[in-house]
Parts: sequence; structure tokens; C-alpha cells
Amino acid sequence: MHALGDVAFLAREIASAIVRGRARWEDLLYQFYFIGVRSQSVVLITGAFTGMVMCAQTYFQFHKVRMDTATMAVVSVSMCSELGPVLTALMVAGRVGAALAAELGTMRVTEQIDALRTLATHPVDYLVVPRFLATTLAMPILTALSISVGIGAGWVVAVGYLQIDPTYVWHNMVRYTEIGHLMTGLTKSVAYGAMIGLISCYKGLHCGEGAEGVGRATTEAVVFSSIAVLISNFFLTLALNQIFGV
Amino acid sequence: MIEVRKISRGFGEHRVLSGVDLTVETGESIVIIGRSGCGKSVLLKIIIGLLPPDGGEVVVNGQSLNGLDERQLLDVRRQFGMLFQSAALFDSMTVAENVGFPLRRERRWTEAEIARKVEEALEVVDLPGVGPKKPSELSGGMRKRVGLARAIVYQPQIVLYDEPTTGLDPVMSDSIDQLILRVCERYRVTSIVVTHDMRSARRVGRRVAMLHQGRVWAIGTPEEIFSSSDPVVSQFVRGVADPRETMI
Repeated sequence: MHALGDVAFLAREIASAIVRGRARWEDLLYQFYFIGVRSQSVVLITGAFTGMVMCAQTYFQFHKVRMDTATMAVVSVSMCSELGPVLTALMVAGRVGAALAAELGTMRVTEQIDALRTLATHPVDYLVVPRFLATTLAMPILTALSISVGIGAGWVVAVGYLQIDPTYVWHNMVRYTEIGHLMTGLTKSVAYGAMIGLISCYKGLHCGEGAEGVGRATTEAVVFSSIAVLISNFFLTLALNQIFGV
Repeated sequence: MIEVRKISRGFGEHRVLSGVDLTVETGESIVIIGRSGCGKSVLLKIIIGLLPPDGGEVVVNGQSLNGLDERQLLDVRRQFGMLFQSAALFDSMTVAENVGFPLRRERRWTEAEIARKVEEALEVVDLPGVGPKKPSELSGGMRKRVGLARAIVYQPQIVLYDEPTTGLDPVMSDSIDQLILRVCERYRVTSIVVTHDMRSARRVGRRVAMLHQGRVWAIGTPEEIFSSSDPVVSQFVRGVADPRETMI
């Protein structure tokens, strides 16, 4: 409960700093490059192979009841509303969450954060806000990439390998995939990005002493971010279903 | 002027400071000595507002730090510069970026002015031309000098030194002492130096305060402290493990 209170205070500080425009564009752009651009490869690989596996597994089951041409409709809906945002978030939690917690944790144990404070710079303004904003803004873009590549890779497997008729595949996919599915996934991804940024920065800023403290903070940042993503996914799914009606 | 009034601070069950009183006049140079773990660095961090005290108050130029939140403390800290024991340089930046950091955050100077001020500060610490280097390329003594350049580049009124000579060879320690004296004279700053180094304490301080058992045990001029007959002070300044040796 104590930690939850601290996270809430940190969230309030971040919101206040964003509203008052205390972050600098240069810092945000650098973090956006590190968090967004440098995460592309891992996210694209995850998306592509998830789409391909999803396509194959769906086909294996649907083929038994002669519903081969509905395969890509399932892949598309799944990638847009669940697999794309959740798997992207888990990959970003592993890559970015660990890096954020380790970087801020190391700065804390080497007194660099205290040095910032003596130089009249608030650590939340300088360190946390750019990382939080970059994670929150990069996540929907990464998720959109993951969804696109996942569907594309699934299409290649469906048409190229499984020999499903491309016309019916396309027709069914477009027919059953609604804009609401995409909006659900992108909305989730914004929430996941904010969670990963907040939890990872909190763990880094509050890490224990020495190498052991940094190691523990890094592990906890990844574990707690992943758990937060998975648990909130259920509630977000229910809530967004009400909003987008899909 | 800095007034430290009845400051107490503990960590869990362990009480480090219990009623420290200390007054540092404007422009004065005071050295705080004491055994490891006696709370010297903790006191320094309380004075600059990095750590909140459990009790008591710190008054800086008439302003009490009690009850100030972190953002209000940031304004108070503009009067301070601090050299950390580990120098605490930002390892992702070059030396020039480190030294220019507080100026860039102020957003009051052009890049040309910042570059000029950075070079001036590096010259004061006898490190001209090292601006493009990374902190990882510097020796321990050079890092401390860069840390000092960063602490004085915006010309604060008060400079705090946390064990500035720890881990340095005697020659480098001497040069750091010279730097502290030079900064003190050149910028007319109030200096508080925490150190274990008795040679440094004798050279740098106009007054020396010894922390022991959570409070200021003795305070006076370096001559008074180094010739003190108090067994605790005498044992410490002579650096002997067995107090009976100080009686010989």
C-alpha cells in the first residue's frame, strides 16, 4: 500500500510537470528514439511470428469444419484487439522497462540524482517525464506496427503456405474486422505505455543500495510492469467493449 | 549565514544525529571532522535539503528549510554548490555538458556564453581543454575537479564539499585543498568541508567542528582542535586506535 501511494504521488508529479511544460523537447526526442525507434526490431519480430502462428493454429482448427476462409478474420481481430497490444507491451516492458529502471537506479546509487537535485533540477522533470511521455506515445505506434506486420505475415502464411483462396480471405477479414477492434488495441497500448513508464521509473528512483539494489529494481520493473499489463488487460477489455461495442 | 538548530536524524533504530547545533557565518570556511558513520555526510545532506531531519531546523540566509516541498527546496538550492564524494558526474554526458548542465537548465544564456563559462570554470580547476572527454576517461582526481567546476560554474554563495580528498594520493589531495582555498578566495563563498583528512582540515578550515555521539563534540580554530586535550578529539586528530597512546 505504501508503494502504491508513492506511485500515485509520482503520477501526480508527472501530470503536474507535463501540464506546466517542464520537460524539454530535446530530452523527449532522445527518449522517443531510444524507446520507440530502438524497440522496432523486437516488436516487429514478435508481431510477425505471432501472426504466423495464430494463422496456422486457427487454420488447423477451422479446416476441420470447412471454415478455412475465416482464418484471417480471426487473426486480424485477435491481432488488433489483444495479441498486438499485449505482446508489444510485454516486449517493451522487458526491453525498455528494464533499461529505464537500471539507468535511473544506477544514477541513484551513484548519487547522480542527488547531484541533479543540488543543481536545482527536479528529477521528475528531467528524468521521469521524458521517459514516461516517450513510452506512452511510442507504444501505440509500436503496437500499430506489430498489428500490421502480424496481419501481413499471417496473410503470407494463409495464402502462400496454406493455399487459402485470397479473395475470400480478404473479404472475410475486412468484413469481420471493425475499426472498434483497432481502437481497442491502440487505446490499450496507450494505457500499457503509461503503466510501463510509470512503474519502471518508480522502481529506478526508489531502488536499494548497490549493485544488488539495481538488479532487484530492474527485475521488479519488468515483473510488475508485465503483471500490470496482464491484469489491466482484462478490465480494459471489458471497459473498451462497452465503449467501442466490439 | 547557515544555522543548524538541534538537528536530529536516524535510520531505522540507529540514531546518527541527536541535537546538532552549528552556525556558519557568511564567507566562512568550516571543516567538519569525525569518525566514519558519525553523520558528517548526513548533516551535509540535511543542510542542502537532500535529506529531511527528524527534528530541528536548518536556516539558510534567514529562510528555514522546514516545511518546504521539493520544488521550494530547488529554489533554496540555487544558493548552493555541492561536490560529492564520488563527484557524481553524469556519465552519459561529456565534461563540458556536465559543467554546463546547471547553466543550460536556467535557459538564460546562449550556447556561446555557456561554452565560455564552462571553459572558465575548467580553468579555475586546472583542467582546460578536457571538455570533450567523458567522465569515464578521467582519473579520480580529475573527476573531483570537474565536479567542483560544475558546483561553482553558476557562482553559488555556499559550496559544500563531501570528503573531497578521499581516495586521492597526497599530492592530488594537496591540489584539491589548494582549489578549495582558491574557490573560497576568488568567489567569496561560504564553504563547509566534510573530511577525514586531518592535513586537509588544518589547511582548509578557519574553524573545525568535530562530530561525535550525534552532536558537535568540539569546535574551534584548527590550532585549538589539533592541540585539544580532550581525549576523544586528541585520539581522532592523532589517528590512533588505542586512546592510551594519546596520553603518552
